[in-house]
Amino acid sequence: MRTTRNALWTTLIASLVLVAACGQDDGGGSTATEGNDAGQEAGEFEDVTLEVYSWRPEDAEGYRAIFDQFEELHPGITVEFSPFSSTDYDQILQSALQSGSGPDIVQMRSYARGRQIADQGYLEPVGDLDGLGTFDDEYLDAVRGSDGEVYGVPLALNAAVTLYNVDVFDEHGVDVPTTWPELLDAAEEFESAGVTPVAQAGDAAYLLSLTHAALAPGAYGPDFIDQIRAGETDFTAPEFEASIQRMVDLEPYFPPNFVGISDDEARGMFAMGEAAMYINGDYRIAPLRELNPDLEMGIIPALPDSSSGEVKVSTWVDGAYAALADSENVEAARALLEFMSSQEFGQAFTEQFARTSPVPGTQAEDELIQSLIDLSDQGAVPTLFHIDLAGGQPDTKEEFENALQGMYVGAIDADEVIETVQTSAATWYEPFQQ
Amino acid sequence: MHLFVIPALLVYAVFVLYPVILTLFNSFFAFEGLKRGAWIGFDNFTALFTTPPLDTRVWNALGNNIQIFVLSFALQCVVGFLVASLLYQYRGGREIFKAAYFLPRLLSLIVIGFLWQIIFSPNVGALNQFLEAAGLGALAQNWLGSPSTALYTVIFVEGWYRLGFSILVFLASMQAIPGAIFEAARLDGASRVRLLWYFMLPLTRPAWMILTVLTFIASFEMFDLVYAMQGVTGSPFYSSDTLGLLFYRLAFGGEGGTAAIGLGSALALMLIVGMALISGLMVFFFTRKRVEW
Repeated sequence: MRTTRNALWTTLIASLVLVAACGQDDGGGSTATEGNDAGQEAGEFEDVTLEVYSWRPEDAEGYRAIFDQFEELHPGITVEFSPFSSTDYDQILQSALQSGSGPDIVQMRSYARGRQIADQGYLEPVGDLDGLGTFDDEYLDAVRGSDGEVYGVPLALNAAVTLYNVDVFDEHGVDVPTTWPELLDAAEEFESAGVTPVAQAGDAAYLLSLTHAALAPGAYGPDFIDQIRAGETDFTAPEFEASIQRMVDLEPYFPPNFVGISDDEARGMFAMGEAAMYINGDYRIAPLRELNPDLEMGIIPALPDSSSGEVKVSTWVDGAYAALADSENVEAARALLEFMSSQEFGQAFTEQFARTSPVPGTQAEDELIQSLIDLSDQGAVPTLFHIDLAGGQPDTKEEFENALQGMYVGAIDADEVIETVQTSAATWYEPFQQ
Repeated sequence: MHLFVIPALLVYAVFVLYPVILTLFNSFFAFEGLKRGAWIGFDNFTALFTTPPLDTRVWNALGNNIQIFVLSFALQCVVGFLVASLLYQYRGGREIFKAAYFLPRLLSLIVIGFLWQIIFSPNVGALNQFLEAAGLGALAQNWLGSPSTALYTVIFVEGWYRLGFSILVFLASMQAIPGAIFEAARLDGASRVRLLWYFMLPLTRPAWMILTVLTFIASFEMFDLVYAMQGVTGSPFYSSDTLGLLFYRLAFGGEGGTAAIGLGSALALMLIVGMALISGLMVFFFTRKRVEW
């Protein structure tokens, strides 16, 4: 009996130890590899298969076409695209990295979340790639580790925009606004005509910080962002207050009970012509067209207070591709990343996915996307909360958007929103630590 | 012969014991993203109660969990008991009602959350439209979008989902009571209310115990339904936030934020210990007095 019991305990303990040994590998990957021959000649690779992890299963077909172009340029390399669902991606990637069974190239989240992986030493520094030299420095910040090195090739740009339904504007004879007061006037006209001016949803708080991102740069420009980043001003400044005031001013033009409605419902309202405007990321353009293929849309950027001001668009980098430092095929992976930073890839990416690319000079056939590219060329502004303030515990961005929701349900007022942001950022945001 | 339990024990060890022990362990460490850092003793625990705004979030969520438990107890146990005693007394259509009450339980909570979200939608939802059509427009609410109703709406849906199970347990427990007891009481002239209060209630004590403990655990574990209906922050403005959601936000970074596994583990550990203690007390309370027949 005793032997049986002992055997039982031994088995249990042994299995626990085994599991613990498998699960815990906090050592991270190797930090860097030697030899940065990114410019290797085509044909040098023999039978190399590169596995690429991504969180975009819906893009598989498009990537196949793009990777075919790459494989033609580098006949020895085959690229295999392995997508996972976006919500599980981070966990899958982290386990793959810890167990050392990772692929060669990974799609990497931008800013703080990507930095975590870079700082653990899993990624190959790629700042020396030729193509990256032409990238805007602001976009490269999305893929920098804490050591300042560049660890990835930024893939796509997101922009927070106000979309308007061209037919609804035409039908009611309303001109497309070019200043913030004009936008409020237009909203008033729609309101009195019985059309919902802005199809805004508020059940998920992140939608509200997105709306703020689309409107705020009209109230504060790049100068304010620079001052924040230099620690010269904080969120109690009048510029930020003015941006919150815009959120207050627009509220009467949102659908009734909008805090209880979902983005799907709001999107449906806009796509079906029941609302004149819809504020969200430009990545909602494709789903809107799926809802209504005949929908004709235009983009309203962040509008200035008067016609002498400039229009601006909040942008941020949405993901990047990075090579794993301990991949056996790191040179081939670098070749693929070099391709991903090329004009050719940027162009193909824009055409395949109707998204804007951070590669300078890409053109879109789609007029709407091209108009967004033009607007971004004129006045792209970094999206402060998505880029700088997605950190702290709890996250300052999350605190902000929930405070906005609190303001809309009457739990707190606009001043308390500002106070929440300032208090949260003061605990960790580096420029505020001096 | 004891060796036969090894496969089951192994599965239990790997999927239950190991994560629990690891969580216990992790709660004493600092974390940098997903990477474990230095041993920091009880700092994670104190941080939960002393760093604003985390402290207000913890108390707010705990308050909500307590409300969920109290109201779920009323909705699932008390109502379940009353419906079960009705089904016990009136045989007509009993099987149909049993099946109908139990049916929601067969759906996934995520599906249920989604469906009720559509029903409760303030402008196009079936409930408000029905109220308008019935001339009760004044009662129409922004059910899930107002801090004064959101939590209660979720509790209602949770109750709707779990009621059938309580009814089945109570009914089974009532049917196990020898009919002679009721017959004797009835011969002595006991009214139906007295039967319910003096016989049915004490004699179904074991069922009350099981259901109270299960309701308590389900209320404090509340995550999937509220996540499906109110999102990861318990919208609007944390009014339907629960400890489960708060744990998720801390441990996995919520809506794209950074993860704080140490803080999350500390919260999870306190939840496990607290729930085990209170469940134990409940069992003690219910088994203290035995009712025999």
